[in-house]
Amino acid sequence: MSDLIGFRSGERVLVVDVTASEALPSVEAFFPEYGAPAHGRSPNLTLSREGGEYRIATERGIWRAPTLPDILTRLELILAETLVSDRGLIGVHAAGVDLGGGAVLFTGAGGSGKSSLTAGFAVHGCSIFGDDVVFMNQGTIHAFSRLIKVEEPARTLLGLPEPRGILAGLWTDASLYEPSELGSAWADPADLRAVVLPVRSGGEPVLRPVAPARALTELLSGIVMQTTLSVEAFHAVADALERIPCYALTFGETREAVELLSSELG
Amino acid sequence: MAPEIDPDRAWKPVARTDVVFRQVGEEWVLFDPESQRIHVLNLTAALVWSFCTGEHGVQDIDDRVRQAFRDVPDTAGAAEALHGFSESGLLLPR
Repeated sequence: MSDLIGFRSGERVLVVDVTASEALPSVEAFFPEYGAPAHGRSPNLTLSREGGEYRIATERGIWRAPTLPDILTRLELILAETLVSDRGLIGVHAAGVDLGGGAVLFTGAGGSGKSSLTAGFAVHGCSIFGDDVVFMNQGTIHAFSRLIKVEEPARTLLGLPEPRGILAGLWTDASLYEPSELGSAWADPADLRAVVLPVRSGGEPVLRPVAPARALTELLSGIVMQTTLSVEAFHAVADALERIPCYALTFGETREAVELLSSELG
Repeated sequence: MAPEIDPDRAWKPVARTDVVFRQVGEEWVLFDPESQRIHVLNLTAALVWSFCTGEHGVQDIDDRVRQAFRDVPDTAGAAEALHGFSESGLLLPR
């Protein structure tokens, strides 16, 4: 007997057949930004529950998570990568906002401030490409419309309301927002304009140039890569980075960082 | 402590042909499509990599690097870079 789990993330709906301790390739996903529903499309993955943890196994590795929301978030990314790779897009590890008609990406390790900066720009009305992963084709950035994670203290500092609650009542996460809740929207595809590597520190925000090779390693590492990064895709990202400025940003207060970036890059 | 020159003086390192070597901005990077890893090289390592053609022995590469950087104090020799390349599986097996 199947145990069907459905969840909604923005305009996206996934239905996952989650039967305990079984390998389950049945996934129905609807990704409106990338075309038709992908019924039963399985990128050679199995989702299972073993010993109190959930697990996704693919050709590229195994991902484990203690809770269903965590593992479904990972599944969502894997499915999206599979779909977009057919369209010549690759996933890069970055948050991104539309600033003055161009895409500004924030890339770096977890906790570096990508999501906070994204939320900070969103409350100023900038549209959003994503808060952890965005898709790239040559020098054009495409949104990955997964909900935006804003945790404390950024939520309080930005004056954000409680999120409405999501995922069709199957679970709620007190830190996930749709862009409309932040006064924003998903961004249309736009040319890459700059890459920023944020680092949290105390004091005034400081922006300084950084080598594009550093941005390259951050963008192409640290996320699930269900699809293999081809040599052509590697060159495409490297070529794109050579055409735009890359910066390191040290900052304490998100609002101050947003003001600095808006004046320097906007 | 930096590795010393490999005692196997007959060894002539050969770079894997599928590893991509290119300049990005003012730096040099390697992309290993097999491991999906990117390595950012300093100038010494980039020069060492360019000599990993199978035509140069380890001592020869070290001499060439030191000659190229003779005006730069405290230049690291080739050993550290070759050790790193070897450990990362970027060279053909001996």
